Amino acid sequence: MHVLAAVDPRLYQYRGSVAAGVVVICLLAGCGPQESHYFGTTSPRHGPSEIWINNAGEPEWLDPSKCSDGNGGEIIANTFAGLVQPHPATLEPLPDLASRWDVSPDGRTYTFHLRPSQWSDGRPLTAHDFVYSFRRLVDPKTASKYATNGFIFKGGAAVGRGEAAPESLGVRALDDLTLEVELEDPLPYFLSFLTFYSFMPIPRHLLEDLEARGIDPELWTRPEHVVCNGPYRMTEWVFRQRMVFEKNPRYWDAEHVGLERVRVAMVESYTTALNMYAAGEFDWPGSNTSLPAEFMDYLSGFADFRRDPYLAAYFYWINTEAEPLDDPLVRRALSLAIDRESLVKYIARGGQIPSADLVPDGLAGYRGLGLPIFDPKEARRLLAEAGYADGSEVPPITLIYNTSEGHKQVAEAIQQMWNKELGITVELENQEWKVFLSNAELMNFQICRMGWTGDYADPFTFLELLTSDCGNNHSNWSNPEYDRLLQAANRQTDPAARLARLREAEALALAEQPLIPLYIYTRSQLIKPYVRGIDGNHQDRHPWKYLSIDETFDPADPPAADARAVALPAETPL
Amino acid sequence: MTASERSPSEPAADQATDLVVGTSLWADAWKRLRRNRMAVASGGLILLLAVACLVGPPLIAATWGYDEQTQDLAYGPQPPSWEHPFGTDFYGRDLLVRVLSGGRVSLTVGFLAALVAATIGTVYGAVSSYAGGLVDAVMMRAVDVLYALPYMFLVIILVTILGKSLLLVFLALGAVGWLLTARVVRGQVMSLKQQDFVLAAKSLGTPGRDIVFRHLIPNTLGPVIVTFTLTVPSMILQEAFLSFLGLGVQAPRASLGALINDGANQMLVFWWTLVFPGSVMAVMLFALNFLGDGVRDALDPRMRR
Amino acid sequence: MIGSILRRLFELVPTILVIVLASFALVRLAPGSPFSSEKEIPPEVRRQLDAKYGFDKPLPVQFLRYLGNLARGDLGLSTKYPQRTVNEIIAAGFPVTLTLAAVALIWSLLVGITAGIIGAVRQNTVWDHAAMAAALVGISIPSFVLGPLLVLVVSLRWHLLPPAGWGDWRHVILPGLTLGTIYAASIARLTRGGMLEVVRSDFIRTARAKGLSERLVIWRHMLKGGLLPVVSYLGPAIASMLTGSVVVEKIFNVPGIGPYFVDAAFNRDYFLVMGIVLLYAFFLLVMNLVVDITYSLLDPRIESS
Repeated sequence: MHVLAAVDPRLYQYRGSVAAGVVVICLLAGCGPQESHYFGTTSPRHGPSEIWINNAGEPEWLDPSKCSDGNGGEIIANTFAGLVQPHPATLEPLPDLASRWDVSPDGRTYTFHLRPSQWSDGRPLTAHDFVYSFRRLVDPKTASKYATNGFIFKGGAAVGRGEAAPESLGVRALDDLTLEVELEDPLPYFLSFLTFYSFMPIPRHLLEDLEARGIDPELWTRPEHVVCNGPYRMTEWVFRQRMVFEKNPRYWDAEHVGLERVRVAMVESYTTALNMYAAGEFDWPGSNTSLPAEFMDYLSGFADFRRDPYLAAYFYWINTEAEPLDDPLVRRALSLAIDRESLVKYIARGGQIPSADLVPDGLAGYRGLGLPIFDPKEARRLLAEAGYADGSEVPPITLIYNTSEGHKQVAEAIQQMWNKELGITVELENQEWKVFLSNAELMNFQICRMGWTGDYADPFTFLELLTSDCGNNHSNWSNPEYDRLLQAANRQTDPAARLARLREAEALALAEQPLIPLYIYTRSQLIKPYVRGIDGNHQDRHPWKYLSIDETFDPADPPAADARAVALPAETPL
Repeated sequence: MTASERSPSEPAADQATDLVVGTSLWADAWKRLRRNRMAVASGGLILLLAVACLVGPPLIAATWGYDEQTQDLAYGPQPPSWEHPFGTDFYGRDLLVRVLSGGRVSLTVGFLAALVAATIGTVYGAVSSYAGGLVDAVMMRAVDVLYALPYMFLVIILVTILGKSLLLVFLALGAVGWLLTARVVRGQVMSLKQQDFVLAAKSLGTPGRDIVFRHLIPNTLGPVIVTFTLTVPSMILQEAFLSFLGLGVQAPRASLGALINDGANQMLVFWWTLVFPGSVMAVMLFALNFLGDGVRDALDPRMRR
Repeated sequence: MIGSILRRLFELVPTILVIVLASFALVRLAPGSPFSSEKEIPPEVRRQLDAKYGFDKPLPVQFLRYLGNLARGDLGLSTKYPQRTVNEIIAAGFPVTLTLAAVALIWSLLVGITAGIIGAVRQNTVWDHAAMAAALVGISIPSFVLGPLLVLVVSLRWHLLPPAGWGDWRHVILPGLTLGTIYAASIARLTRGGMLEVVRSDFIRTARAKGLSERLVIWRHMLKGGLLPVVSYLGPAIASMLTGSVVVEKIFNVPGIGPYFVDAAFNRDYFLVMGIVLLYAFFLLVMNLVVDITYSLLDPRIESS
C-alpha cells in the first residue's frame, strides 16, 4: 500500500473507501452490515461545486422530439426547461417558462403566458419555438418513436398518420410570449404530462443554421453545437465513457441552480456501478441505475440507502387466444395461484407492493380494487371448473421474458408456484430484447412479462393499455364496453365521477384477466450521505438543479433525514 | 513427456502402413498413456466427476427430496453448511445439486459439440484432400474464410437468429469448431493418398467413397482423437462464455457457465455462489486439458502445437 | 518476398467479399427489427425510419448499396446510436480494445516465455513441473472467474486499483491480467515444447560439438526454435484475445469494441454488427499474413508459399 501510494498520490483517496473494504471482508467473515453505517466512502472525491453521478448507458437521442429512452430523458430533463416543471416531491406541475396559464371551461384549451427568457446562445425564446417543437414531435418526417405523446393535441393523430399537415395541429402562438394549446380530450393530467421531456422546446434557429452550414442538423445535440435553455449545458461527451455538464448562466432561474458541474458516467452493469459507488467514483448512481434484488436485504441496512414508491406495475400479459389460455377460468386460476407476498418478500425484495390490481391504490385519489393476491384453493377450484381435474392435463404453456437477472428470478419463482399449487408445467424462455419485443408485437407467445411505468400520475396511464386500439395491448383481449367506459370517463369533468368510471372499467377487465398483475414497483437507491437535494417521489425524478454537496457532513454526526431534502427557493410560486 | 523421446519411428509412417500395424499402434499408445500417472489421475477425476454429475442429482433427490430446481424462498441464500455443503442460492436452491447438474450440462455440451466438430471436420478434410485440385482449393479457401470470421461473433449471431436452446448451442459450437480438425485431417490424408495401400485400392477399382471412408478416415483417427480431446475443454469453455453472456442454457436449468455468471453478479455478498461453480469448472478444465495432453503424447508423440 | 506479400494481400479481396455477403445474410435473417420498441410506433414514423436507413429497398439493392459505401470506406449509420456513424463508433472503441489486447499480449509473452524457458532448461525438475502445473491452472481458469475475483480482492479489499472504468494506466492492469493469463499459460507450454524439440535436433548437437558454450546454445538456437510455435500461435491468440475481450470489457466496464458487438447484435444494429465483423475479419486476415511472414523470416526452411 505504501509503495503504491508513493507511485500515485491519488491512491490516498482510496483510504476513505477502506470502510467498503472492511464491509466486504466482514461479509466474507460472516459479520453483518452493522459494522459500518454507510456503504463505502463518506466524503466526496471532488470539490463542493460538482457531483459525480451515473446514467447507466449511452443515450439514443438527446433531441427532446426524438428521445424515447430513459438515458436520454434524464439528460434532456436537466438541460431543457419546458412550460411547466414537476414539484420535486409531489410532482405537481409548477410554473417553469410559463409563469401562469388559463384553462377554458370545457378543459380543452390552455393559454400559457411565457416569461421572457433566452436560449443558451443568447437568442430570445418565444412561443413560436414551442409551436415549432410540438409540430416537430408529431410530424412523421421527424420519425419520433414518441410521436404518440403529441397525439393529445387537437389533430395530433391525423398529423402523425400523415393525413394532415403539421400546421393543422392545435397549437398556436398568439404573440411572442403567449401560447394557445387545444386538446383532443379534456385530459385532467395534461399539465403533469407536459413536464415530460417530449414537450421541451427545440432551438429552431440552431437547426436551420446547421443546415445552412452544410452540417447534418440531427447532430445539433452534440456538445460542439448544442443550444439549450435548461439549468445545465453539455460541454464534453466522450462516447460511452462520460459526459460533463456546466451550469447554464442563461437559464431563467440560474441563480437557484446549486452545482457548477455535473460529471456523468455511463456504467450499465449494476454490479460494476455498485462497486464504483462503494469506491466513491459516484456520489449517486442516478435514476437509471437499479439495485439488484439479491443485495436488497443487505444494502437496506445502510444509512445511505433509501426507498420510495414508484409509479410502475409489473405484470404478465396473457395471449387470450392461445390454448389453453383462451379460457378466462384458466387465466384467473393462474393469477390466484401466485403467492405475491412471497414473491415480493423473497424474490423482488425491494419492499414492492404485492398487487393483483393493475392501478396502484391511492393513485391521484383512485381507490384500488383490492383483488385477492393469493388464493390457491380458489385457483384449484377454477382450474377444475375449466375442466382440468389436474394441472398435468393442461396443455404446455411457455412464458417468455427479456433477458435480465431480475425477470429471470421472478419467472423462475412463478414457474415453481404454478407447478406446486396447480401442477401446471410452464416452460421459461428468455429472449433478448429485440426478439422479445417483436414476438410481443406479433402476439407470438402465450405469457409474456411486461413492466409499465406510468407517464403521469393518473389511473388512465395504466388502463389505456387494455383498450382495443392500443398498440401496447399485447393480450388479444378487447371489450367494447371497456373502451366505452374509458372514453366516457375522459369526457367527464367531475374528477370523482371520472375515477368511478375508471374503477368500473378496471373491474370489468380484471374479471377476465387479460393480464396478471404482480406488484407495484418501488425505487431503492444509494445516495452518498453528503449529497443534498434529493426528494422521494413516485416517478423517481430528481432534477440536478436542486442538488448540492454538504461539506460539513460528518459520518459520526449525521443530520436528520429531512435536512437532506430539497429546499425550494422561496420565490417559486406554488 | 518422457515416453515421447522413446518413440522409434515417424508416426505418420506407422499409421499409414497398414491397419494391422495400426492395432499395435493403439496398444502402444494405451501403454504409453497408462504410464503417464497425471493423465491417468486426470482421467479418473473426469470419470468421477461425470459419474457424480450423472448419479448425484437423482441420488440427492431420492435421499433428501429436492433437485436442482426445488426452491425454498424463505430459506434464501445461505453459506455452506453440513446440510448444504456448497451453500444455497438466492431461491434457497441447493448449490451442490445445481453444480452437479450444471456440470452434466457442461460435459454433455462439451462432448457433443466436440463430436459434431470432429465428424464434420474429418469428413470435410478427407473429402477435400482426396478430391484434390480445384475442389480442394475451393474447400480450403472456405475454411480460410471461416477462420477469418470472428468465431465467437459468428456463434453470437447464430444464437440470436435461431433462438436459444441447448441443442442449438452445441450445434453452433460444433459447426464452427470443426475447422481445426478439417485442416489436420486434410494434412494427414494428403500424405496417406500417396501410400501403397491407397494406390492399390484405387488400382483395384474401389469407388472413391469407399476409399475415403474405409481407408483414409480410419487411418486419420489418431490425430482426430487428439484434436477431439483438446476440443472438449475448449467447447466447455465456449459454452460457459456464451452462458456468461446470457446466450446459453436457459433457466431453471443451468450450465456451469450460467452458475458462474450468477455467482459473479452476487459475489459481493454471497461469495460461495461464485467460488464453488468456479472451482468445479476450473478442476474440470484442468483435468480435461491434462488428459488431452496425455492422449496427445501417447498417440502422436511428435505432434506439438 | 514483396511480390508474394502483395499477391496475398490481393487474395484477401475475394475473401472479404464472401465475408461481407455472409455476414449481411446472417444479420438480416435475424428476427426482430432495429426499430422495435416497447411503446407502439405509428406506421408512418416507421416508414420514415426505414427510408432513412434504406431498409425500404429490396435486400439485393441494400446489399449493393452497402458494398458501394464500403468501397468508399463508409460503414453506414448506427441505428442504436443514431447520432454516430459506425466509423465513429469503431474509431472510439477499437483503440481501447487494442490497448487492452496489447497489455494482455505483453503480459502473456513475458510470463509465458519466461516460464517456458525455465521449464525447458530445467526439464523434469521441480521447476519444470511447477511452471507447467501453473500453466495448466492458468489455462483452466476462465477469464469470467478470474476477473470478478481480481475485482473482489485487489479493488474492493485492498483498494489498490479501481474496480472498473477507463482513463489512465490504473484502469488497464486488471483487465489486462484477466485477459492475458490464459494465453500466458499456452505460450509457456508452446515455448517449452518448441525448445525441447530443438534440443533433440541435429543442429543443436552440431552446435554443442562445435564447442559453443551451453548458454549460447540456449539463446541462439533453442530460443529461436521455442519461439517458432509461439509465433504461429500469436495469430489465433490475438484473434481470440480480441473476441475474448467481450467478456473482460463487460466485467470491467471498458469502453472497447467488444461490448458493442453483443449489444449491436441484441439491438439489431445491422450496420454496426457488420462493421465490427468486417473490422475483425480484416484484422485477423492481416494478422495471419503478418504471422506467416514473420514465420518465414524466423525459419528460412519454410517458403512463404
